[in-house]
This record gives sequence, C-alpha cells and structure tokens, in this order.
Amino acid sequence: MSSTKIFLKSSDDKTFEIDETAARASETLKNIIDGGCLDGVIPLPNVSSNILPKVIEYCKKHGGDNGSSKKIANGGVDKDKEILPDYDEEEDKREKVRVDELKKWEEEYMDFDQQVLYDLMLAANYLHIKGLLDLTVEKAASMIRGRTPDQIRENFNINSDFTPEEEEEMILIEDEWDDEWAFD
Amino acid sequence: MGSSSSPNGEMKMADHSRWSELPNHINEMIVNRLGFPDIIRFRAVCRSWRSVYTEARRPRYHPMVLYEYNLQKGTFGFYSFEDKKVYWINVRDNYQGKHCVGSCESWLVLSSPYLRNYFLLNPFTGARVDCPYVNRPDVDVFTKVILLHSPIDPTTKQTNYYCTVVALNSFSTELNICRLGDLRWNVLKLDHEHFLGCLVCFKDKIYSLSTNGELWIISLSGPMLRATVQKVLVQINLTVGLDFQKECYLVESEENFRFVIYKLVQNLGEYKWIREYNLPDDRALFLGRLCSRIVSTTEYGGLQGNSIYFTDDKLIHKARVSEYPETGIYNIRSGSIAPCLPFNLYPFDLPHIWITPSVRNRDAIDLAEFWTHWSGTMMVEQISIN
Repeated sequence: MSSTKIFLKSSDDKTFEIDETAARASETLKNIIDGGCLDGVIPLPNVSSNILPKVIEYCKKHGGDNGSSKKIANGGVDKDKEILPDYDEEEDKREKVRVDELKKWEEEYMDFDQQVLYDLMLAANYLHIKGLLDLTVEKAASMIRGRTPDQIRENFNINSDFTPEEEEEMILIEDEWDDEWAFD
Repeated sequence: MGSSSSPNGEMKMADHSRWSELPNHINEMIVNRLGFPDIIRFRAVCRSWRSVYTEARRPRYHPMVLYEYNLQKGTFGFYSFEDKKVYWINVRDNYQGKHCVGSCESWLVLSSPYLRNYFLLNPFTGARVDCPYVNRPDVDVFTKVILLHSPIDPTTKQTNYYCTVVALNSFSTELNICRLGDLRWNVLKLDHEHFLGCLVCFKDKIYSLSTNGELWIISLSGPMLRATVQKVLVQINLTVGLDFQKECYLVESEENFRFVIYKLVQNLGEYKWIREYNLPDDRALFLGRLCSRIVSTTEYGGLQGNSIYFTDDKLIHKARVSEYPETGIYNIRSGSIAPCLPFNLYPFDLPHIWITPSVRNRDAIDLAEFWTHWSGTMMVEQISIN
C-alpha cells in the first residue's frame, strides 16, 4: 500500500516525516488525519525533538498493525494458536519468527534511561499509542519490582518528601526465613 | 516540560521530581502491574505516589498468614508462603482496633477499642471503611463477620455502597446485616439456639449449619436487604455427630487428627453432603475461623496441593493452655501434617488469620467465579482418631 507522507513538528520547531500508515498507530494522529483537517504539518507542542524520532521509530514498526498483521498487536504466540486452531504450520513458524524478532526489537528499542522513559511515556500518552504506553509502563514497573523505596527513588531520581515520622510509619520490614523447620 | 534539547544528564537536577508528577491514570497503570510487596514499597517512595489509588485493580497478594499483629498499634506481621519471608506493615495509628472478627481477601474486619463499632481495614493500603454504628444496648459482640462484595468500588474508587456485611453475634441468636453507608444494621433473629459459628457466602446466598444438622440458607433481596431464611434438612452421613463446637470443621484438636471434607451437592432441590476424599492436586484449602477459602496452587507459588492449611482457633482453646498452637499443613492423601510456619514464628497468644489473594481484575463478571472458589459448598470436619 503506497502511503502519503505526513509531517510532524516537535515542540522545539523541528519537522519530522512519517508515513501515514505508520502515523495511524497513534490514535491522536489517526483522528487528525481522518478528521481531514490535515494542513501540511501537524504541530506536537508536547513532544520534543529528542523524543519524537523515538516515537516515529515505534510507529514505523507498528504502523500497519490495525490492518493486516493484527496478530503482532495482540502479542502472544500462544494466543494466536488458541484463536486459530487450524493454523497453517508454515505460517505458524513464520509468525513465531516475527514475534521473536519483534521482541528482540523491543528489547533494543527500550534500552534507555529513566529520563527518556518519562518523556516517551508522556508522548505515548499524549499521542494515544497504546502499545508504546504499555511498553513504557511495564518498564517503569520493572524498575520498581524487587527494590526498596530508597533504590526506587534512586532509579527515578525522586526525593522523599515524607517527614521522618511518616517514614518510620511506612517501614516495611522484611525478614528472610530459611526453610529450616524446627520439628518435623 | 521537555522543551530543552540538551542531552540526557544535564537536566537531572531540574528533573528531579518529574516522576512524582505523573498523570494519575499512568500511575495507576504502573501500580496495576505490581504485586505484593512491591506495591507497599511503591507507596513509600513519595507523597504523590502514596496517594495513588491502589484499590482500582486489586494488587495480587499471594497467600499469606497474618501471624502476629498489634491492632492497637496498627502493626501487622505477615508470613508469605511464596517467598518465605516475613513482612511487617505499619498502618497509621488512628486505625486502632481491638479484635479481628473477619477477614475477606486483603480486608480485615476489626472492632473499635472504645465504641461498639466495627470497621473494615485493608492493612496493605491503609484503606478504612466504617460499618454502621451498633447502637442497640441489647446486642452483644459480633464473633464472625463476612463481606459479600468488595468494600471499595473499583470504578468510582469510593466506598462500595452495595457491599453487604453480615455479622453473627456471639450467642448465634441473630444475624446483623447492612450495606456500607447504611445508618443502621438490619437484624434477623434466628429462632435457633444452636446455630454454628460457620458462615459462608456462596453465589449471593449465605450458608450456615446448626448443631442438629440443618443447613440454613439465607437469601437477601431488595434495597432493604430483606432476609428470607430457608431451613434445609440435609441427608447426613457424617463420621461423627454434629455436636461440635463453634466452627463446624473443628471438633477436637488432639495430637492425632485428620480432616474429613464434605461437599454440598444440590440436586432437584435436595441437598446432600458428599464425602470428598481428595482436593484437586492444584488446590489448597485455607481453613480458619475467620476465613476459609480454596486457592489455586498453580496461580500462587509456594503452596502444597491437595492440602489443608489449618490454624489454631484461639477462641475455642481459650480455656486450655496448649503447648503448641495447632496449626499446620495437612496433606490429604498421605495424612501427614507439616508445620506451616517456621517454628520461631509461632504465635502463642493470637489466632492466625489467613490473608488470601485477591483475584486479578475482579469485577462483576469474575465475581461469580470468585465465589465458587470460596469454600461455601464445603464443610470440613476435623475429628480425632484417638
């Protein structure tokens, strides 16, 4: 499918080009395009020029999702199997390769620090790109799991604004207990 | 925000608190992906994160036992079966309680220390919901309280006014019923003196047993919660008579005992107790005076299948000084009993309370399924074989 080009302008006045099919990965852009009020360049006052290329990269990868290759958008391989029990084996293999490739791509794509994560998360939120929002939220959650409040603050560069008394109140003491039973 | 094109790092100081300013719905999305104890740690990071609504999607707590608690000070000690760790949680001290008379998912039903009042507390989130004041001088204390719904509405994030609370008084002579937000309790007199302390809810009906083997089914209807009581005579072939004490599953707790499980089967309006010789291999039954429930062992790690986790019932043993609290894991197939807590965590003055996990994304649709997991159709009898 040939595609028209769309131009996006970042908050710091830099213009980026994106295929229409890719742009449709964003609910916000899709509405603008379908609304017909497309006037050459779409200004995005909430997205800066160091984040916008990252967003476009994601959209390019996922642009066609809502059309032919819906399976990738759905995510899991197993899910597909359940939905389509009489799945062609060859097709199944190819699908698997595609999903694996996508996972690898996501891994590389998501390799950045918390500041980019924050901006990307808000951009995904503003542009209504659900997949990207999920991805960034999951990354934030993974930076919280298994860590103490101090470690979490360090991860996200947050200063505690609790009083010492409040801190005291919220302490979650964790003790490790071995599997050593005193009697059998 | 984000107007600077400077590379990462330089803005670090200016950015320091951006994460505490995330839009609420994104914060909630993050919280929804956290389980226990991460959710507690998340709330301890900063003020704005603490205020994030954590009840929306109930966080997944794995099965834990509340083994030590000081209700007056608001401290709770949990032992987690999944990671074999002990967690201590402090809840703000204006949440003083005196006795714990109920437990439902992550909620505890507590009595106030000074007034004849009951409230619901989620020790994990600190959320508190009050029950109507008990302003009848003739009513004695509640010994068992069950909740028929979640106390917090997941969509409005406010008190769920449809949440029905059912309380049994200590003489088992009446049920007190209310919805959260009601001004007073509805009283249902039970014309039976030997009502057993067991009270379970299954598919919106409340089941209880009387000492002479009658099954009582209480249905609630209408906005006024009009209660209709149905007395059902069930064909019983129990190993021993039903002359046991408060809780129907507890007869005697001697050194050697075993459990016998009965399943309630309904066929063409007739009720029957069927003896079950095993639980499914992927199910564990948590048995307690306050809360009994069947949990999937595949969904939550660290549990033993086809087993009964039982706790000491301090109310019954008040008069007796037992050397070891009778608590443990009973393997139904082998009949063996293993301790369920490390020895040095054994409580000697407080009953264990099971805190069993909430069901993910629980809403109106899941509710039915959730209640079928409740041990509402089961009766467990603990008998002495000596």
